[in-house]
Amino acid sequence: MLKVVDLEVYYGAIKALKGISFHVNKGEIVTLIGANGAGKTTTLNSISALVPIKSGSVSFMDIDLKTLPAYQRIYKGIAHVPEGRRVFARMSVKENLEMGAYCRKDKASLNRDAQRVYEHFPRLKERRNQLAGTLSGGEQQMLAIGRALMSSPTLIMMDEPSMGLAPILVSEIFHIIQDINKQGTTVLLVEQNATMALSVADRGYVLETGNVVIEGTAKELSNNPEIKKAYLGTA
Amino acid sequence: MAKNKTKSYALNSFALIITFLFAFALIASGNINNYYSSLLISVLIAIIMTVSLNLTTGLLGQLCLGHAGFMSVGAYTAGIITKSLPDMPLGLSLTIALLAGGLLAALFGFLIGMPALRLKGDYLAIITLGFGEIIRVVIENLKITGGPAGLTRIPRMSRALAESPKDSAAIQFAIVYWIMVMVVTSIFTLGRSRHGRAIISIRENEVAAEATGIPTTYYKLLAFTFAAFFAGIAGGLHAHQIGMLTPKYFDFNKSIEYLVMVVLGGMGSITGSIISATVLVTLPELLREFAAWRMVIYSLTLVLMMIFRPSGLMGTKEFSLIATVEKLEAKWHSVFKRKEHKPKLPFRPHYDVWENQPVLETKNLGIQFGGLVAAENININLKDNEIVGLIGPNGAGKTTVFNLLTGVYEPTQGDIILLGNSIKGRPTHEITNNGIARTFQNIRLFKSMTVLENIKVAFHTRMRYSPMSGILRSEEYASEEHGIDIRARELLRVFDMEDVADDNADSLPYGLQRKLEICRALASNPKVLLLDEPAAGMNATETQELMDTIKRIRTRFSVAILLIEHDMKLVMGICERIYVLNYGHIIAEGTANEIANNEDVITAYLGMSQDEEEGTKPC
Amino acid sequence: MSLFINQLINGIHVGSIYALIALGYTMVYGIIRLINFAHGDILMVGAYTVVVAIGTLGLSPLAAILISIVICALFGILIEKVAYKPLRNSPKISSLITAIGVSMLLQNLALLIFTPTPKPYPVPLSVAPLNLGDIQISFITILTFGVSIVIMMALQTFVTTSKAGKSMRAVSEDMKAALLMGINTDNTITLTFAIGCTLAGIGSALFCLAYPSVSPTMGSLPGVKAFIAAVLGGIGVIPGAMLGGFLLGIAESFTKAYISSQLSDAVVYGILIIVLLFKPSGLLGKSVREKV
Repeated sequence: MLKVVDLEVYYGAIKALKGISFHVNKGEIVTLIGANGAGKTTTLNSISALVPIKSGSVSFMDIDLKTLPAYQRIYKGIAHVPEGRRVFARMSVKENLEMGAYCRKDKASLNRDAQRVYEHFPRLKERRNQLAGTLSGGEQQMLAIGRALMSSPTLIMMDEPSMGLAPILVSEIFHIIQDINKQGTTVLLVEQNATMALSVADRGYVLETGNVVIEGTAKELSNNPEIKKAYLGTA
Repeated sequence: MAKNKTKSYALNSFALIITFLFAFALIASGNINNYYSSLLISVLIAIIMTVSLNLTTGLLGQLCLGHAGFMSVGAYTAGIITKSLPDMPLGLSLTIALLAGGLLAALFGFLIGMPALRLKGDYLAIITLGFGEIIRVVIENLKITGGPAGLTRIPRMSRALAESPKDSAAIQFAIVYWIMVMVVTSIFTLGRSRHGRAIISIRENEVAAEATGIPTTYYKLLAFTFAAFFAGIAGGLHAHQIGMLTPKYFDFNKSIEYLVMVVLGGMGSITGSIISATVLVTLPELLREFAAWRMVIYSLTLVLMMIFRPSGLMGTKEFSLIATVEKLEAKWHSVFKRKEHKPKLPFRPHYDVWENQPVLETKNLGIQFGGLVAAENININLKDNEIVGLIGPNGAGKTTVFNLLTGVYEPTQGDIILLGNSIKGRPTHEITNNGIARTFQNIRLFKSMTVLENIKVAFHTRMRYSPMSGILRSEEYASEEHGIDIRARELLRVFDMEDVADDNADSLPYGLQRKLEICRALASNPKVLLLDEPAAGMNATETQELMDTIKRIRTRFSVAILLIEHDMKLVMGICERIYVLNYGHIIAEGTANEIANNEDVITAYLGMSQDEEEGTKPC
Repeated sequence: MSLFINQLINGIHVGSIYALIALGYTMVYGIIRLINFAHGDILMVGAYTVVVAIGTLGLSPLAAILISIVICALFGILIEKVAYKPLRNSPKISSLITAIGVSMLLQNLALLIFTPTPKPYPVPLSVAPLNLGDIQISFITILTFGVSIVIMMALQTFVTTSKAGKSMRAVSEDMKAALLMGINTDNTITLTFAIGCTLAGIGSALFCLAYPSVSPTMGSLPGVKAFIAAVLGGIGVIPGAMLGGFLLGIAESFTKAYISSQLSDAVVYGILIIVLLFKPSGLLGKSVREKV
């Protein structure tokens, strides 16, 4: 469904991605793992066109995304939960969700999706009239995911959803990711927390300084001794 | 190496002297007519204005739109003084007048700097604009300043040294030129002293500057006061060059003109300021032939320049001739005084032995934000050399506790005892200097400063030399700077970071940035180190390294460490004791084992008990 | 007493104009954090358009004013696209200098085309004033006040309830996140400039009806005043701009009447400084504390 080929991205003179290739099939959860600065966030940002691509291609459902401006990508079905949540702090929870549905015109199914989001995150329903800036970190993360779901995406990309969250919330978030996937949304997951990521993913890619160094099914990766040592902390 | 330094020293002095002699000769011999010589003097005055504005806008990073106001204060004060002392030799009265003008302007700078303590950015800009305009309106309505008509018949400064009108232009030039050189050099050397570092650190990250022990209030006022002083001097020179003053001249368009020069030259670049002041004063004059079109061309140039070179001509860089002024001065000491300054190594403050007694203790500490209780009845303590964890769900108030301990928030209840003394209500930088240092959840480095300079900022309070010895580069300056250079490099060596010492902080990879922040916190020689999510964004291997580092720090620097972290492996692995915070209250305290099996903690925070989730590493 | 009330009415009149211009400032600042120094000069553009439309083209005053409002909006869009858009990722101060440059450019172009001699504003308005005993309220005052109140309410409703309005708020908070929502941020910013400058165009007509003299630098003083009004009320807050405008107008008119007309500017700045010292984010602004 999503196909990335030889992607290269520069920040000024620094080469952040050195020709990354990977793909995501329909219905999968695919995870990108790796150290800080390996290029995980950059990869997602370039798929969303938040950073310009130097060379290589990104295609989604067999359409080349090269010339598609950033704001139109959600219309094609790609939603992106950015790193650091980035909810609209001075807008209410409800308004944040409305912004998530900005690209949609079908009112009826929209309400259904709002209900679905509230089912995933009952706490958001309780706080729907509160300003997003007053939510706790965990609630903001839920809102960011909920907001992305409101566009009814075919692919949802999540950037470090577990970052800075209490352990109890981390497992909750990962359960929700699995639920979302079961309901038919494909997931591309960037995670520092490799153990958790591999426990929910079907396949994974390991990034190191702008390159894909290892790829395989989640199971293969979990059992790979190198990965165990470097990313899972269990030698 | 030494020869090179001597060479560049000679080069710089010669450049200054030859430029001077060349221009002086041209003016004195009449090769340059009066129009051009007074244009040249206007350029010199504009340079003083621009370079001094660069101190507040470029180095301190505060937008100031009232610089012409300071200039007018200096101009009028100086003008009135020389006019009222007709019997005194002008050489003397002019000196008094210039200094008095500068000092009064400095007083105004101090007053206008006050709002800068509360306001930032555009708000400050609009306030300084307001102040500048108020000064103008007041001058317009005072008798002593001559009202809207202005102040006339101010003696020309050339009369200070010669009576013959033929030499007057050349002498005016000489006076203004050398004063300009003094001002520019002073601001340059000030910028490179510990005081300059403190000022720049505020621009880079005010919160971090305060937390590393910089009294930010003092330095903001210092920068405003100095900038205003020099603007006042420039005003005095202007008054005695032109011989008359009108309030209209100093309206906010004038302030904007100087701001434009600073930005176009490059914020923080003194060479840039000099070049752009020269060009922007000369350009409209050169375009005089195009009469009607010249201002259109000027404004168009401005817009295009910003579009194609948004960070100005020079960015923050300096032209090497100026940069070598520094070397030049080092040579001054070694060549002329032939005296080696011994490095004065910063003295390590003596902490009493606190064995088995808490170094830090809170008593019923709490805070409310507008009726909302963020933390209540917090009783925690740290013994010497202990590693203690503070955990809890998001929004439980962990960072709030850190902010209370470091004086970012003032507690509404309870007390904080550090090494036996209450630190409640003290400003952050004092608390830092009394022994608590911290890192931040989202890294706060002084990004465009080098790694070494980041550390040096934290050494600030362990030096004693005054702004004046910084400007004059006294013996004290040299030995103390030399001393902290050695200490800072030593500290970096402990963290294996000496090879990146001269890199910019923001060019470091994430992991090293976290390490540098810890390193900077240790440079202020704390007794208690607070780490706010040090492992955030790290993977298992990096976290493992971090755990080793933390343990190493504890023994090597003999500090007690309190850390906030979600990574249970790290917390359980290195903390001797753990406090659990929920809804602003401590709900549990104990060893790792006790906490891991505490029912309340499992419900509120951990979720499943740790055994069930063996091997997982929540981030 | 009647002097007091007449001055109050006067203040409300001037204040309404400041408020209208301040609304544009506030919207533009709210979305790209830029003090659009050229905003005041849009006033001048509008005024000269009317002068040309009536004097040269012979249009009716109403048509001329409507055209001038459209021209103002177009100028706003043009300035944004040409001068500000390329600088969107540059340091804020560069954009500020650009705005200053654009303002100078507009003034000097006008100087070149129309000469510095002021021209009369060619719209006569002779409606009898409303007399209430000693108190006289001119038609223009009522018109100005009414127009500004209606526009403020319409704008507030637009921003809080309409889709485009909400997307403006989203863009002003986080441009990248807004892009991810599918909001065309470029268009949203352009729309903001267009609305802001439309308001400046309307403000221009009302300003000129009160002070019928058109000159190249006529916009800079009301521009600065309007910006102060916006800051006073809390920049980015629509009712704040309104409140700030009225306060400023009234303060100015009272100072002129009771203290000294020369000092009125100083008093205006004094009020601004005092308010900001006690409420750093303006009267209706919410203070945003930097999170540590």
